[in-house]
Amino acid sequence: MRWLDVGQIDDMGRMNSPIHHLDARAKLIVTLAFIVVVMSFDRYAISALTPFFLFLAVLIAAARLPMAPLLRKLLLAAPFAVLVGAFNPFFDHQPVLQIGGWTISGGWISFTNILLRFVLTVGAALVLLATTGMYRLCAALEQLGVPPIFVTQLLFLYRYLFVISDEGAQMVRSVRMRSGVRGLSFREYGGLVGHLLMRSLDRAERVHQAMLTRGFDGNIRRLDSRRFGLSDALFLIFCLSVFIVARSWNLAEHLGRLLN
Amino acid sequence: MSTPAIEVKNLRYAYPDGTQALRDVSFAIQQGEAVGLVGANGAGKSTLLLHLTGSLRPAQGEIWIMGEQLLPKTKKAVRSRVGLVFQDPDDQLFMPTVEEDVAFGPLHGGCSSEEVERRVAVALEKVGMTRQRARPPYRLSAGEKRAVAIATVLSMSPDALLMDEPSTHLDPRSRRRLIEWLRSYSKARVIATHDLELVVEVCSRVIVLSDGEIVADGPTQTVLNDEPLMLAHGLERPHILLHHHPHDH
Repeated sequence: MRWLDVGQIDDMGRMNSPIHHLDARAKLIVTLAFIVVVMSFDRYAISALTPFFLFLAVLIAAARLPMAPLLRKLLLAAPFAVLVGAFNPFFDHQPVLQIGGWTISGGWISFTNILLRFVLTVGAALVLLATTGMYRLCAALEQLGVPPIFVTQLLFLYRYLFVISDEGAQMVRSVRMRSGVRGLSFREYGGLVGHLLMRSLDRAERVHQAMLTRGFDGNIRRLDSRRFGLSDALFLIFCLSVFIVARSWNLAEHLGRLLN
Repeated sequence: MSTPAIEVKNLRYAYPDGTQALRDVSFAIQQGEAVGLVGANGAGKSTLLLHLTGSLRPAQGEIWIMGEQLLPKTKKAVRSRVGLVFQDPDDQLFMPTVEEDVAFGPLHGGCSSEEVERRVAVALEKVGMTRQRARPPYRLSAGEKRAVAIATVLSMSPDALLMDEPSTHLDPRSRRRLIEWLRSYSKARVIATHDLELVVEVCSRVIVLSDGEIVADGPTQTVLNDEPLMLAHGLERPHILLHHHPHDH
């Protein structure tokens, strides 16, 4: 169940570190820039991506984030990345690299590239969430001009994840207690999913009623947010500069040449 | 006599499938009065509470809150004067932190930042949840969730407090704390519950609902001591009264 604990990363957002104290807008822009830059690399790029791993590692260390929960969440999403790139080695046989007696085809390189980019982009998103929290992140989106209706939807989508996961966990517990040695059939699982949906809808209706009784009118008003300060601006400028340098020059290759 | 906090006149409501949920319900609750709303499952208690906040629209009848009639155009203003604590705190706590949840009502009621801050601090202090301020509500215990749910309503400074099964899922200590708090609260209270012991300790008056109809409305001790009445409507005489003479107060 710890794998599916959706609140764990959000809880980390309440930790205390210099990265946590930065304005959410600065972290959001840096993360988006990081993702765009990483995705802009050629599909055979491997060594050029290594400085971005270093950047992410420095950020995780500075934020004092525990690695295990981040890795668990990363692994949870990994099958999607594997599925996207798994067929590359079958279609792209063009040899691009010779290591010892082994010839490595373009398919394997592009598959590795997809996995590396997956780790970097999803890792960056997780670090953003773990150093900011969903709530501050949504506030930052609104401050950056995203229409409130989308931000509210996002916030509640996230909130309902907890509702549905709680309802689901209760149902699974109940099923385990009563299903005995015989497992459930697909038909029974189908019924459970339908039931979960109905329970979640009922819950959503009650939450909405609770919101209305407390004056909700379609827009979420929030307590005063932080101001964008000098440290936030410096963090933003520094990170964007690092990305520009790492995108313009293959730092790993230059370092290798230098050492040789 | 001052304006009643809540006045309901000839309220009728039927569910979309035609089931009559409320039949000609009428009563008035004075300011500062604590009233227990009791009845078997499906008697119409929760439906009645939802009407008092304007969440359900009656087929017939009138609802007045502090002298103002509850109508579609007055709903927003009236809702700020009535606070409903839902049966399940998880329905009521939807913001990422306790503080944000308690601030939700005052913020949407148009209070200034300073006023919101003040109300949040006071409400959390009253329910003893100040230390939980920055925590996410879904990480709290059942008793803590209940306390925070009450704080979310208290921060709106309502003239009438409505509670739906407030003692459900509470351990004895949390329940005792809730009872003490309810006894000390000075505004009008309507407590819909099966916990008749709680009603005896908190409420001076009881309304008994059965199949959407008021079958009894009177002093707590008198109504709850009427065993034939209790049994006829799916209730029991509470244990706390079994050892007391009906006229002991």
